[in-house]
Amino acid sequence: MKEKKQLTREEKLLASYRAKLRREGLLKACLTASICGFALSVIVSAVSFATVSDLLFIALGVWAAATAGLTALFYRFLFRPDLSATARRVDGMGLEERVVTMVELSGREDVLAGKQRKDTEQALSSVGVKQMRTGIPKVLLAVLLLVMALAVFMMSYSTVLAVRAQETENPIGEEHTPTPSEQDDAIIREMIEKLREEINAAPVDGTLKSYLHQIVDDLEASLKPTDSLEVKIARVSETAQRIHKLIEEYLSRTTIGQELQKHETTKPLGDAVVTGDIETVKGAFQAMYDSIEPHVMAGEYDILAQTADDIEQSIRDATIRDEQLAEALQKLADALRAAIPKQPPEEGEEEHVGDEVMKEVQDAFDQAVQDMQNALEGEKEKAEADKNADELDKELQDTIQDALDKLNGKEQETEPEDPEEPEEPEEPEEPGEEQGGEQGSNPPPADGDVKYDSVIDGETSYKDVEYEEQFKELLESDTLTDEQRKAIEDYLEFLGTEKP
Amino acid sequence: MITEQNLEEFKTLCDNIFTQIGRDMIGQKEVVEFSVIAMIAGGNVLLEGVPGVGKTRLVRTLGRVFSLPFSRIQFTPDLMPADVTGTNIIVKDEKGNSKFSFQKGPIFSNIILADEINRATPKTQSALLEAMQEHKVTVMGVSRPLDEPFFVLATQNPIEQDGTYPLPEAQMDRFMFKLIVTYPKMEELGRIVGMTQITMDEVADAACSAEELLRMRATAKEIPVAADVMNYAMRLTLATQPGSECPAQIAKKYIRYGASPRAAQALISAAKVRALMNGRYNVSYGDLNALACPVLRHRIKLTFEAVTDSVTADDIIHEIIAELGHAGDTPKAGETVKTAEKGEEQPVKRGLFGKKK
Repeated sequence: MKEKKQLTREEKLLASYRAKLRREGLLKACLTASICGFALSVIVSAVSFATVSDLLFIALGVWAAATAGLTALFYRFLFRPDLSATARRVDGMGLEERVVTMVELSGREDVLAGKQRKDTEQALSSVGVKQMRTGIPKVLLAVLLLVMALAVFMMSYSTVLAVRAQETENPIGEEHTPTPSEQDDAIIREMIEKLREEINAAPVDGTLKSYLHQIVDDLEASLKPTDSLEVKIARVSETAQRIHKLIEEYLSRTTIGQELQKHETTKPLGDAVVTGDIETVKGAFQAMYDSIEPHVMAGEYDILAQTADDIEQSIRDATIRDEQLAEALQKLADALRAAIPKQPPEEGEEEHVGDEVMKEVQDAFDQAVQDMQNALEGEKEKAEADKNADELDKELQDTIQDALDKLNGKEQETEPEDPEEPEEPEEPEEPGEEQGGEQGSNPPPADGDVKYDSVIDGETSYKDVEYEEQFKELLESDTLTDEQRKAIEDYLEFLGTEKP
Repeated sequence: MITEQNLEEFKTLCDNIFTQIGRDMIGQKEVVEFSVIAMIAGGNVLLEGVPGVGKTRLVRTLGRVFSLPFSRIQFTPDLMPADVTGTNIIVKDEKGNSKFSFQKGPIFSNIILADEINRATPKTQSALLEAMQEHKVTVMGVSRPLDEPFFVLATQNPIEQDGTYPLPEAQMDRFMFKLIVTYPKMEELGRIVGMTQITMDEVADAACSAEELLRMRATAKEIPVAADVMNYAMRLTLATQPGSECPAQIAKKYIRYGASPRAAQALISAAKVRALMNGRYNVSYGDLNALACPVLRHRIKLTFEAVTDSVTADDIIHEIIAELGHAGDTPKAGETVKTAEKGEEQPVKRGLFGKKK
């Protein structure tokens, strides 16, 4: 117990020195552990270099973990100063082994030990903690700097090599970061897709749509990779404006009937022509007759001239030309103008002249009804043919798209299944599991040349579907544009069907 | 058990001893200090120096200061062992019968001055062996103890080697110190000449009795030695042995035979006295370093290579100290611990043959 008290007194005497040495020991442990950590990082980097893999974070983690772990170990077993070590260091300040001896004499209470302790305390009072230099060996610092530099170099170099190798092996990886050029292309692609969507959504006929798509195709072909983004955007915008203008022009087109609706004298006729119903046209003529008659009977023949002028104006203004209708209406206008008396009627003959004029008007109207009937029926047939052509065009595009999708799907299914033996036919008796539900009805041919001769249900042959005959009928008719005709011919050729 | 009084007495006596010696001896502080240390520690001293530098005077002064019987033996080639130890002679008693009677030689004294010891034959030199180590003399089969305290203070001349007999290793090993007495400096020489113009006689008074000297020796023996310091003394000794477990690099090259265990004993005993003389109650590395040369220099047998390279034993010892990493603790010549710088951590300086780099 007594010894413990003395030891405590000596420890207290050296407490401040020991605290400083503990800090120094911790620093030394940290530096030594850091050297070991960097050495391990160098090893990891060497592995990274050898395997050309990015192990930067592993190397950093190894360094951090080794430094933390080894610092504790080194401090615990190597650098933690005990009382004797502290005494030795304090003696190094010129105390001539007084402190070491005092520590060894702790517990002795004889005169000599007492004198020695007193002498040591006196000597200790002449030196301070600040005079004790921190003893970090320069060799340790030099080795640390050397190993650290080597580790940093190795980590950087191996990481750069690994990243370069990764880029070379997998240029379009899942985590591929688009280059500025690729970003530009994406922007342009998006603009063009939007343009195509606008074309598809525009209420225009198929011909114009095909024409507009052709414009876009030309645009895509004309864009050069060397062009800057600004140039590309400018050209796409220019094309878009052109397409919008064409669509607007198309949408602003008016028929003769619509133009007739704009004039007061011909409005009933215009309404009737728009409907395309000949009976309505007849009713419209009757209404026009009823409205003209009072004026004519009153000797006001200008109504006829006005009506004729309005008809001719409508014919001129109409942007959608129907020649038969225009001819019929021109004849009507001429007849109306011809019905106007050359000279004003004499007194008392107004009624008679009026009757004659109205009779000519009636004849003109009747003739017009006949002419217009033919024109309207032809127009109606043409409209139906256009409608059918549009529908067929749409169906054709859908069918081709389905076929292409199916073809792509088949390729994706068949490619990875047996990459080493692509030409070996599969046994029909042993259908592979990889074939799934598609096996049976349309097994792939033995020569690997896949033929898709069925519709999307996989069972019905394209030859059995009824619109094949419709295509043939359409080809025989004159209602198809050249583009539609070519598409259908290609389609029938694709199916292996003879052309009509 | 050592007492406070013993410590005080030691200090007082030391002061008196040096004061009285200073009355007769001018300069040679280191030689005087080490001689006193050897006497207190109970060791023999070999003084080497050219004639006329005060060797004999120092011994005589020591005899006076310690108030001890003093014998001087002038060693010559024809000196016989019996001339040193004494011999049995035939004497007639009162009845006229002849009988042997032991006639004590000059060795039977407390302080022996063996002047020019290397001029005697090895046979005569060997007569001192038993006396120096065991403090007894055996003549005709009868051992006779010598009075305590017993010291041999021998001198030898290093320059006139013709007709001399170098001391054998066994003889040398029995000297605790070999001290080199150098020429005095100009200031010291002036004072010496001035003093001897007044009188050539020693004027020092007795300052310490035999009993007091023995008490001082007992007190010094109690001085504690830290384990590290003790270990250093052992390493210092073993470093001089080329075939030991921890030889110094220089020892392998220049030393044929190293110091014996007596050297380690001498180091520690002398270091204790030195520490206490300097008011310290523990032995330091500095004590050992200061004593290393006088203790080890005559115990080292150099190789022919060392002779041809003009490397002295002192050079080798300094290099060994430097190699052991405590060169910074070595006080300068004549410097005591009290004058050593305090408060600054002493850097360890290493260099070839003790030269500072």
